[in-house]
Amino acid sequence: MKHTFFSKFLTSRYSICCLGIFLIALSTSLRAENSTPNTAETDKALREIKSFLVTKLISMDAAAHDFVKNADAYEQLLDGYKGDYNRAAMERGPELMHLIAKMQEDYHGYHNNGYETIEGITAGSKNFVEYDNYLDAGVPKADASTDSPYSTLILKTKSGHIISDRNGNLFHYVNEPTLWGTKMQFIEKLNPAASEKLGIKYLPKPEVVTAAAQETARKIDELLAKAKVWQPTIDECVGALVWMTPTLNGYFDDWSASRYDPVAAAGRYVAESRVVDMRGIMSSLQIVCNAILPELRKKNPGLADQLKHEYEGIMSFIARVESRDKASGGKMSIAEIEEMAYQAKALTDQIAPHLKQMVQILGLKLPRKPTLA
Amino acid sequence: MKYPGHHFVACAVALLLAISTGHAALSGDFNTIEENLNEGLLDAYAGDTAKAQVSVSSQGIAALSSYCTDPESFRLIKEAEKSDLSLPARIGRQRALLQHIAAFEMLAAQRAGNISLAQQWRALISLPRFASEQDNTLLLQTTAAAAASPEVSRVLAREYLLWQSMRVRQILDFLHQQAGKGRATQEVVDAYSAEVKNLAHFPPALLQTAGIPPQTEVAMSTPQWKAGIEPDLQAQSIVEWREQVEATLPNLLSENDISRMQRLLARLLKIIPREYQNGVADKRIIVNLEYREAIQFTEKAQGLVNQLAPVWKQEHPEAYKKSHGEITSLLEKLAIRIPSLAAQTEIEERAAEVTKLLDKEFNITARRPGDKNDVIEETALEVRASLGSSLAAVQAEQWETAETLRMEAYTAFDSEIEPRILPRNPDLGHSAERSFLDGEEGARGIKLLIDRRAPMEEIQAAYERCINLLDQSVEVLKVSVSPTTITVTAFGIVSREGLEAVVILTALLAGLRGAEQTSTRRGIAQGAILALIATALTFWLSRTIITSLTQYGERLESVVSILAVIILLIVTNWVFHKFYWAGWNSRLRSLSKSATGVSPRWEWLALLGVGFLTVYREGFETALFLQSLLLEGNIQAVVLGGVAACFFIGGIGLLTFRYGVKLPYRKMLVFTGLLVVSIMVTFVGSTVRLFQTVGWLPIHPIPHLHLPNWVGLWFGLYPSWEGILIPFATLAYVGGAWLFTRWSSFRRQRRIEAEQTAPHPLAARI
Repeated sequence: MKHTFFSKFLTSRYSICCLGIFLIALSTSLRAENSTPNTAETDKALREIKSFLVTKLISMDAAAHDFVKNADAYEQLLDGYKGDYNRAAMERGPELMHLIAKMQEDYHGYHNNGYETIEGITAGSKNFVEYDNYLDAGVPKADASTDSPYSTLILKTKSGHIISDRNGNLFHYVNEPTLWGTKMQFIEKLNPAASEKLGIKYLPKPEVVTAAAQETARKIDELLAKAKVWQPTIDECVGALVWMTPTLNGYFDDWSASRYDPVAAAGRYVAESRVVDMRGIMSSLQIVCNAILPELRKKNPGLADQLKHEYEGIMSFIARVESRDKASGGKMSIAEIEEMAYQAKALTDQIAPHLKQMVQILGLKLPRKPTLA
Repeated sequence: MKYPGHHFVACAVALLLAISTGHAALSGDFNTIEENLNEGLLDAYAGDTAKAQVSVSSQGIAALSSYCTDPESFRLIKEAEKSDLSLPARIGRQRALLQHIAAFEMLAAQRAGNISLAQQWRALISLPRFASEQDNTLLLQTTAAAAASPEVSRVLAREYLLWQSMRVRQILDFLHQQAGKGRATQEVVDAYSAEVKNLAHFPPALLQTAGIPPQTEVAMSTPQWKAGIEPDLQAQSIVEWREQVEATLPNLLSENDISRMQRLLARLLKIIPREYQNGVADKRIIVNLEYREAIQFTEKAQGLVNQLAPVWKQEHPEAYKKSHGEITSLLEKLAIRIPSLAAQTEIEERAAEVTKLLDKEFNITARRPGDKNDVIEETALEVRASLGSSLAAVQAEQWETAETLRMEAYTAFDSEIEPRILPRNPDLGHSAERSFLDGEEGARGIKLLIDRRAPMEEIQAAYERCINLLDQSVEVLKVSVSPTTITVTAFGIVSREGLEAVVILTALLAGLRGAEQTSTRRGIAQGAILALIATALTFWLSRTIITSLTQYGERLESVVSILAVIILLIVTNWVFHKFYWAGWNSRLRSLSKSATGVSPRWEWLALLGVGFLTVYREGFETALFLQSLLLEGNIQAVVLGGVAACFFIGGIGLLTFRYGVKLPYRKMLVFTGLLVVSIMVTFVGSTVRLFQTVGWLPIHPIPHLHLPNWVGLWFGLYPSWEGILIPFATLAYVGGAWLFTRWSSFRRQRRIEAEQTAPHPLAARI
């Protein structure tokens, strides 16, 4: 009798329902332990964030592989002259310049319009922080500290000669100085005739360019693959906002300091590059924030509106900084520079506590600040 | 077919839409007004007044009227629209009044139970740097009835006053900096002074809601401004004006707040030079984070001085009048000199000057003097607070900060608790100390785990252990010590150190027997007597000068210890190296001979120096130990113990010298030599430990090796690779050198013997 009852129960729909409920409860409790449970709206927001990241990385990857192609062509061209840069410049100058320009364009593709626009997410997420350090943020080992770790990049030529041994990140310590000719060890000085012909004084060393291109493509491939399988959580995204937004303060400090730089050109370069950095970081953070706000709007619409305005305000402020700077021809008054830096700081001072407020209202678990440790 | 429910749903949707549109519109309009004012100010600074005018008037403050309900808001809008000031000043005033309007509307909505609107107005209020507004966030996340209570109004109003008081001070800091750097213009001063004046002038209705008695109206002038005068003078005029502003700000601090902030201020002044030292070297930023922290801490210190100013003015009017300006000005200089990467000494001096003024005029120190139990309790609180912050920093993976805070906690423990607990319960004292550092097998210390970036659970357990040991120490210290115990402890300390000196002196004088060595022995003895006088002087001075050196605590001790190790190495060489020994003896003999004849002054000084250094090293340590003991009891008990120990050592010394000379020369030499080597190994071990404490050496513990605390106390051996290997390496060096000397001597002897036994070449020829 008993046996019949249990047999019936085990094969019945009830038992399947019970098993289903048990499994759902189990999976919910397991998820709850790791992160804040998601609503449908949150899931949508997270999908948007992931989709933004993957789309950006796909275009970066294309630029990186184009860099490989152009670097190979550049190397092939110079190989034909067996290391005689001057003769190559005199005989095939326009082709060389074209390839350099294309590689610089690639740099803008995977860095300025690429990595900089996703940095807010990568640097703010534990999953990707090592890539941020390797590609864009790591300092040379000699300058490293716990809060400012070194890049693990060890770059070698095809023949095994070391180009860079943990001496800073790939983008800013190798690619940029090579393509723009600012680091002597990565470039070759031209003689006056060749220099006059090309209109530049240095040519990048082909073995450095090809190694850098291969490494850039390899690392972005890896990052893309990782982003594709990434399962973002709401806590992780809010963490990126909380940790990355205040970094804007430092960029504005650098920007305002650069305006007093006695070497105008250098100052201008830093100022422009800081504006690019700021826009890049904030644009990705704005996307993350906008994706999360609908959830906050349900509980505190006023704060949600204000946060939206604040991120928009920062973006429009950055644009105004740039346009004022351009309109003044780089000769803004001291009072203007100081006021802009002051206003910028006031904006970030405002946004940081509002983000923490959001964390509290949504009952999120703010993750630890992502580090390499 | 009509359904009544349809009407209801339609109305609800319309209401929700209206609310949500209203929200977006208010937020949009408010932000646009602020943005226009900011842009207008930039245009005014750029000299484009017409454009500035357009920016300000395109969507002015009047646009807010449609959202306002509180009569005070309408009054403020009217006031903001007045055109009685220059354009930058009008912009400044409008920026300020916008905040008051937002506050009034937030409170009006909250009182009316319109939570959503109250939330929105609250989100629009500008926040100061380091705002911690999330504390009261959830007050507006409850039901309308609960949120509408007068208590919530009071808390929100108070919070608003606090925020805006902080903003006023931050704007004043900014203005002062601009003036000091010569970057301020008439427009800048107009704009910011108007903003400050209007922001600081809190409407009485707001004060009343916050439960603060209304302030007596004080007419506030504007800062004296003259184009073309020195930046320092411009900055001074801002300082003078600031006094007026501060007088109008409400005091929102409780007694606890004041006490906490004052101690924090003293502590910040201690940390600033340290951060700067870590961040800047040779006029170059080496660690950006540390450099930025030095700047941030200075700003924080300035903020604290400003916040405390009304309290000081009330409680210490004379001191305030005399020193507040100087403190502000010194901090301002510090704030200017850090970004210009000034020399470390300058930063240290400035910070020390402020510290001295705070201590002298307002009786503010990082640790408060007072009743012993109060001091212990307070220090324990401080240590706990620093450890708590350090753990929080670990949790945020801010390792550098965590280490700095750990060091702070350790410094506080080391200055007040450790010296008191060591004489009472050395085991507990050492365990507690080690819990800050490397800990013990199975119970690793905080520093080691931070260095290793160990898992969170492990680190958390280390903090708990440390706090537990701290609590135990505090419990022990609650019981008073009898004068007899203090006398006995003082006797023990002086005897131990004195015996060490006697041993070394014996080793030195062992070879100087005979009447012809009288003057040599006299020279060394005079040096030793001088050292005793210097020790007494050190003991007396340590109450004053050494106290000011306590901030360098372990570092100073490390330097003294390494000097002691060097002296001991030389002494060991004298003892064991036959060459040196022989050389030393012959040198002393020659000195002695010359002393009896025409002794050059420097040779006498050399003898004096040997005696002096040998004894003073011990004397210095004794003086410091006795100072620690004085914290526990009265001076009579300490002096009694010290004097008794002096007689005891004197007796031992006399016996040693008297009977020592009767011992066979060689035995005496070996015996004293072994004693010196053992003392040296202990010194090296203790010095390694000190170096690890101050972070000059890493800590690599030896797994599964547990050494009791007395091994560290008496033999200087601690269970880390550095703590074991370095002392033994020193021992190996001394032993190796001795073997080498023996071997060389043996070879020389063999050679001589061989030469003596070999037939003479000439003899062969013959």
